[in-house]
Amino acid sequence: MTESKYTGSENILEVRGLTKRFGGLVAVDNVDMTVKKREIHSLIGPNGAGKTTTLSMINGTLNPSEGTILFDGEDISARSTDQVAKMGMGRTFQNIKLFSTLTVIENIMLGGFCNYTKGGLLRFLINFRESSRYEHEMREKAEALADFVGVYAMKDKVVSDLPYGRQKMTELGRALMLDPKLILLDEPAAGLNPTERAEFIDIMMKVYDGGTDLMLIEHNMDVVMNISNMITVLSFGRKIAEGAPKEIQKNPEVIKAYLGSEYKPVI
Amino acid sequence: MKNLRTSKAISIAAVLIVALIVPQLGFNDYIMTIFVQGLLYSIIVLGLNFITGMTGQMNLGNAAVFGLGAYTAALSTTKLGISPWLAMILVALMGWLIGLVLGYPSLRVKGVYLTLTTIAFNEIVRLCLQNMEWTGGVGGVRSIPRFHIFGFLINTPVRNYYFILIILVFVIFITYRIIHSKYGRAFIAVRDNVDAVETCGIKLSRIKVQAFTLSTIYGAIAGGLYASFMGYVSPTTFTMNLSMSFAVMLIIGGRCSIAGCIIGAFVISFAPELLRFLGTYYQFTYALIIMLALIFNPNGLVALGPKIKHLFVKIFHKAEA
Repeated sequence: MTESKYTGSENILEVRGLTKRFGGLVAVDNVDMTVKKREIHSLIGPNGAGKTTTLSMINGTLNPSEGTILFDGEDISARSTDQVAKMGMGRTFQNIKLFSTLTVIENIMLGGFCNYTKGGLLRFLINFRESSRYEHEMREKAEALADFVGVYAMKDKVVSDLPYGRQKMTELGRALMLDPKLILLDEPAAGLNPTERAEFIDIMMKVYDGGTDLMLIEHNMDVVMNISNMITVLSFGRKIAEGAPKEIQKNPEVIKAYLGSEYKPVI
Repeated sequence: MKNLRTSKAISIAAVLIVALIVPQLGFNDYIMTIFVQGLLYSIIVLGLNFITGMTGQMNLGNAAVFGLGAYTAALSTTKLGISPWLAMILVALMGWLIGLVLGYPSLRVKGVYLTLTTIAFNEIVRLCLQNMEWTGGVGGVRSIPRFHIFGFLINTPVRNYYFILIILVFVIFITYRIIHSKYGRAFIAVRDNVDAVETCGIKLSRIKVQAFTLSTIYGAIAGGLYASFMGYVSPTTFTMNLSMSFAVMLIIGGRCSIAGCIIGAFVISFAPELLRFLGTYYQFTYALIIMLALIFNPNGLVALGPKIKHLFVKIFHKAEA
């Protein structure tokens, strides 16, 4: 296993000895991983390798059986999802998880709930001026983000009426409402047609250029090889390789476990 | 957009005027009592809407909440001798406490099991009220003092009607603000996709307990007002049947809609009167109507408005052609 050369502040995310056991099944086995700041990090591997489980442990949805997770130098292993989100970690899901009866703009606005809330419900009810100011600011920001991810024209539509690609965009917009330092994207390109995929990559690159680091799980090798600086490969819960795209493509173990001998890079 | 707003304002004004005129139409005290009941039930159903309508947690213990509110007012005014106004503060506190007691189980118990838990809560409360000595047993509590406003005694159904109408308007105002805010959206988010709520930085346990607490505070306040309005409370009122009726009001009227909650509360309050001519067939017909309404109009009576409009437009077009 590789040892990190960097100290906390240089890495947005550090995972040490991460293990998840479901009864007798070891879904993730002693994984070490480091995501440096200003890096697009991809997590790849065959189905059932433990990629989504790893992501769920990082953002606090699942409790790790063992291991530590440092987010921007702070230990978040025992924190809940909402606490981790407040610290600036956004997430999108493999099978879109939107609030289906709400409109697009309401979905995006909900992403900023914690940034635009001070105190509890009582304070909201008593302090008219503050609550309407927050509501106004939240809506403005959500509209700007809706424009950014390309769903502004349909912002008042109920989100479940949108085509799949637009729903994915809405979910990304919701994650961006947090002003995240890091976004975890679970298969962002899955189910998108080539045009939508190109658009999504374009927007992801803009998000990255805006100062947000990205970590993604992806099966589409064109996407992975073209945009990531670093790749971690998981297979049966273990890390089998880590490195730059070019190294990964040549790694015999990765080819055997995942890419297949017929994979031809298109860079 | 502007047109929509003015038409909304006009319809609200119209409803308010009708509400103000109702007691002047010469209804007898019995009918006025049902009107007051409709107002009280509206408050409860608006509260129930937060937890069952928006957050999606079926709560069939609301009659117990209503009862505990009523008994808190009844016992604190008759035994401790405090004024009904002061008692209402205790009632609101009681509502808040019940919200915590009911809300925390809801974090662990889900779906139909939560519904069963709330039913159990309802029965426990009813049996306690009925069998404990200091709550007055089956006889309940009598001669509960009335409210005084500026030396004006709220003792007749008509006076109670105006008094509770003012409170209801205030409650509607608060409810409107919550429904159309980030809290309202967060409640619906819990119903729509519970897995994604926490990734938005929203603490799921907190938002659920908040929805529960709101609903129980509304229920308890309605109970406190009920105690003073009736002048007596008895444990036989606060049964599971009443809890079911509250849920039916919410669903028949239309969840997530303030108008729906109030329409539902009034329609179900008046149902026994309107269907009285059926005699012994009343229960049967009532159940049948509710079943048909759920099948053919699952979004409640508020959803009928646009449907009827659509129908008229269709007929109009046919006549033209």
